[in-house]
Amino acid sequence: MRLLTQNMLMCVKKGCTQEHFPLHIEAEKVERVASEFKLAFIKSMLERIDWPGLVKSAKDVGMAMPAELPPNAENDEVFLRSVHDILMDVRGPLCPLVTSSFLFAAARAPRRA
Amino acid sequence: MKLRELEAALQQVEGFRKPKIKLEQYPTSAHIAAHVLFEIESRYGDLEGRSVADLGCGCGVLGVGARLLGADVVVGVDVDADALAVARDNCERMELELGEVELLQADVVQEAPACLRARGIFDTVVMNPPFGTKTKGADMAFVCAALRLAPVVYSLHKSSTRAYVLSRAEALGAEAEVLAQLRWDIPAMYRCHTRQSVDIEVDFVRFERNDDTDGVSS
Repeated sequence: MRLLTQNMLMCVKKGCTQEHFPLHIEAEKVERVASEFKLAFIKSMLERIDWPGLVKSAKDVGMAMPAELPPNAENDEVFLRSVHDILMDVRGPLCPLVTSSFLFAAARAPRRA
Repeated sequence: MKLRELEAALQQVEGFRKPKIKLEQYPTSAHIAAHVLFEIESRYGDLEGRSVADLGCGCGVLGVGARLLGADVVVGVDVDADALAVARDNCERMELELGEVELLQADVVQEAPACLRARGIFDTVVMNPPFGTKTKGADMAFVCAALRLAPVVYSLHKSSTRAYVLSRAEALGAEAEVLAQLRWDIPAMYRCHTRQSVDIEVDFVRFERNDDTDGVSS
């Protein structure tokens, strides 16, 4: 699953001790899959994602993102490209311990050769 | 992509292997899927460059089609892991890279609005929800969930329920418009089906949230 999708999900279990968000990604199983950068799309996603959640998840998978958006972020193409990388190109399974029985990502098709 | 090309591409999408009648699993035909998706994009531009959710995605034909028409984010949600496995295979068969159509297992009505935290991430929902023959009210429960996730929802409903659908939409704080009426030829799939196939008249409906409401049912 992409970090963009992971950023959309929250845990609905009553006993959740992790504030329901963000769901943990299995950092050891993360891979990078390059995809086309689309400026308008990333700008629009930047407005909608939970930035602190993304910063935390990025850190979990070993990538640093600034705690606050830089000034004029929506016009900073270098920054937007780094946002694209982290949202769209970093893929990893959700940690099974967290997601447990009711919600899992069925996006793990076997990799084609 | 032309309508004809889209329909030809969607012919490759496989249907349910062991359909479950309780979930009203009927595959959306390539013909219907192509026509409704093409209309959504050509008339309203609600797919290309947008983030799209397919609720009750089943084998994924609508989500796949949305991606083929240029949606940048597509997330399919279904409660049935078996259907999602078929959807995953369909994405592979269509040579969609892993992640182009994300698939999530969740109950659309009970869980999706809560666990998909991002009201605001999705621009559009496309769906062919259960008609409510097995679980009464499932059709509009799906619409209610959809309106909590996106401001614009495209959905299919039995024409015989049109008045009910339109009045419920108003109660949910949305404008509803019947864009077209389609004939859906459903082949016999379940043991209770006595005829070889049956034609159902289906409304293709567009819902749009009114301003100042959050789609929460009153």
